[in-house]
Amino acid sequence: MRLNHLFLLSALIGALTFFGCGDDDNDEVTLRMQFEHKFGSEDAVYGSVYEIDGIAMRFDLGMFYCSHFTPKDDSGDAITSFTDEYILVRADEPTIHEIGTFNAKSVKGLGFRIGVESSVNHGDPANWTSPHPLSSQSPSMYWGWDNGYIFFKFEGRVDTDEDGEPNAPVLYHIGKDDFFELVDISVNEATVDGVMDVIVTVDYEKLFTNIDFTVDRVNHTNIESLHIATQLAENWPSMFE
Amino acid sequence: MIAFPRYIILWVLACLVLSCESDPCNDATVYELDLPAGFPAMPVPEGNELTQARITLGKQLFYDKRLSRDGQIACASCHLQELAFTDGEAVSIGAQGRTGFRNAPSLANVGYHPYLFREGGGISLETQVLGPLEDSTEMAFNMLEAVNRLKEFPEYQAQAEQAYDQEFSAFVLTRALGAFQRTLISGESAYDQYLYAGAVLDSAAIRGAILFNGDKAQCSSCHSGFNYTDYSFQNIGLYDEYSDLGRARVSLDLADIGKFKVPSLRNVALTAPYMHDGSIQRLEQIIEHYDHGGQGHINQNPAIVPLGLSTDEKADLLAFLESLSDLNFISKPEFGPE
Repeated sequence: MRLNHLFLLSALIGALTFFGCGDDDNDEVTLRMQFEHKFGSEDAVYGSVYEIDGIAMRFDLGMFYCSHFTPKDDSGDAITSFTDEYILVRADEPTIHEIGTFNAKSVKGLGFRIGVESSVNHGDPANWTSPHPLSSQSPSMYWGWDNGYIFFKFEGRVDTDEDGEPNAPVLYHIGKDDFFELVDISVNEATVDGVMDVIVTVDYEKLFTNIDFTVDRVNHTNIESLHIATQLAENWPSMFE
Repeated sequence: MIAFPRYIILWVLACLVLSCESDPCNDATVYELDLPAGFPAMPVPEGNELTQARITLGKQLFYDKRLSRDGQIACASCHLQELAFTDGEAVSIGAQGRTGFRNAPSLANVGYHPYLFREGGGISLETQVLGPLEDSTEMAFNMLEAVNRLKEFPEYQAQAEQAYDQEFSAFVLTRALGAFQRTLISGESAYDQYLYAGAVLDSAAIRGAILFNGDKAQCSSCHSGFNYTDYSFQNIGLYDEYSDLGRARVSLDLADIGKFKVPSLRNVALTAPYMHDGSIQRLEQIIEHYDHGGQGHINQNPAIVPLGLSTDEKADLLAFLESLSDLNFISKPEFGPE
């Protein structure tokens, strides 16, 4: 009988030691995100002109929502998920977005989505207090009807008369429940003093893959050109690294 | 001790009691809508229960042109009380003289509408505010900028605190406009008086009502209920090709091309021109459209077929539609500007 008790006690101590050691290996990490906006290798700056497939394109506006942040370990498994965090990225505002704090041994990947989930998408921006990203924005990121939030907004001008000067407006206001696209990037940044700053590069040139942007220049996610909106949304994941 | 005459004490007490009574404009108690006979209770969203303070603030905002970018267009610019809150234009003229692409709908009984706009894209009176406020052909403004502009005015800040217990915000702006618009109730037409108060009605209008509700014209299969609409989306064969896709703009469904929300027919004689694009000028032409049976668009409601109405029947239908005008509604001071 006494031997049994001794055995159980040893097993308990062993188990506590084992699991306790596992916790000690994890560090508290505060994940933050910054975005670098590019056209290829060049910095994307409002008012600047870039060449895409030899055609001049002026960049006037780039804004998009990100949400559902999921840091991943070296096996690609989710460490945790921040489903209540939303950020609005503006290409003209270098901002450090704090996502959340969690325990992890290492972070090797990050998943997030472009846009907001359906239950939030059809809510009322007036229910969010400024400066929350989902509150009213200027420029607006919400349609005044049931389509909800504009997930991704790109505006600029493109050269359509082949004189090298961007002349015709390009407006892509894309958003729809089905376009809640998943982005997966690898993370190589180190944690410094408990903070991991993940630098995400956004390449707007890749937005135009399989898009004839001299013809299909304006898209508000309308039924007449839904295939273009769908292609633009499908291009989002490849824009980020 | 000084002895005051008893009547002075009573007078002072009376003054105190009366001064405690709330100013009707500042009343925070729930405002009870005075519903006409035959009207159901109006659904009011949680958190925006009607109070006099909210309605008063909403009315001020409704008539405030500072809600548009150029300061020239108020909600009331396209929703005039004397026209049952329409504007008499085929399509409305917005900020900086820009032309819109839709006919302004009446706001009579708008609080009962389950969705707003002609394609039904507005999901509540509160959220729909963003539509006209930010549309480049209407008020051409931005909600954040509008709030920042109006919150500079102390009277709006004070009213926001009083009505919603918070500073002036997009929440306050949208809720107050919704509250005021829910009071825009119209149910005192000649036909209502005939139905519910025993008033005499022209015999042509009575015959028209029978035709309207009967199997021959079948108008009431869509224009049904106390508000003369079932709020469904219908393609009535106005065109064989629609430049405005209607409900399909929201649903992204090709089967919804050319479908628009069935409008209420209350005050219809006051709200010309008609249809989503204001393309029909007179009620007689609408009756002719239905008698003809539509243009045969692929999504046209199959119930819309030639009716074979006689000249007298058309006149009777017209008399009935004209009997739906509520002259009190278009002259009530509580709906008009201060």
